[in-house]
Amino acid sequence: MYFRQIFLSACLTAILASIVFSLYQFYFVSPLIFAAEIYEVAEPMNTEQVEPWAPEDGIERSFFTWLANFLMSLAYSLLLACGIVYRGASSALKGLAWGIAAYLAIFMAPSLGLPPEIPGMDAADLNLRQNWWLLTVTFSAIGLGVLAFSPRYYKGAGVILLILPHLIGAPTPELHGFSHPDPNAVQALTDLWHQFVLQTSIANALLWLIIGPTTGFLCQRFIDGISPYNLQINKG
Amino acid sequence: MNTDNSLAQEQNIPLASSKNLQLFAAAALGIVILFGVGFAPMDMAHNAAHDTRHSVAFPCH
Repeated sequence: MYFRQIFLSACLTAILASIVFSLYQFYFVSPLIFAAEIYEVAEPMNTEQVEPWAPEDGIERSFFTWLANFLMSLAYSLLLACGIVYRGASSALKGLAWGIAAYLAIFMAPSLGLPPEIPGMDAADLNLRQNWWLLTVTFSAIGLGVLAFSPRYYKGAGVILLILPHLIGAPTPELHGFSHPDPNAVQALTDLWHQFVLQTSIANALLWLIIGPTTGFLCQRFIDGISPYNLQINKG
Repeated sequence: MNTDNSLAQEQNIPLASSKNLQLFAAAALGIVILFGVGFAPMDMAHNAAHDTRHSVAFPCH
């Protein structure tokens, strides 16, 4: 019963969040990605290699981006709803607080070490970056949870968890920036990157400002009403 | 009255553990979906979710 209600709430939240996020992304974020891709230096490919499938530019690419946005919002809303319901009664305001915490843990904390990248940027090994990203998001989320919910004498542990990934340090590439041979292109890419960091910060804030309160509201509406007695009736 | 109360108390224990189990299942589903969208290394998954991965600052490429 809880699982079904949480899944449906998360689906509704994800539809709303993915539409708004995709619209913002379409007008303000994706154009920066497309502009950077023009400068992307193609990797030399073996002639026997088959080019893997990729959506065609245009409607098909936008559709798959929306689909990915929807699934990502669904996943985030599921996780947020589990946290909110586990803690007890829900409300849109509580959802907002959870959403802000999630923005800090999932976007801001990893971005301090690994700022949002545009295509064509030099970066450290992908596996190392993904591992550091997971470590940072996990530690930051637990750290914020400890700060918010634990007794006062444990709160220091929360601060340590928040700081620890940054003491370990994000994996950095040997060369920072862009390896494009043309200095004009490097300048253009650097400008694009600065805009990209600003626009993704706004877009992700928007995403969490929708996912948080909507998840909180829908949990209050569809889950808080479930009492053990109702469950018994439904089971019977 | 007494019978009702004891009935409710008996039921509360399995219901509480069932609640946590369901929350755990929902969270696990969320993590699996998130891994598929953000981290799956297959070229197809990467290409389909490419712009999303960049926009939410997942490590990409």
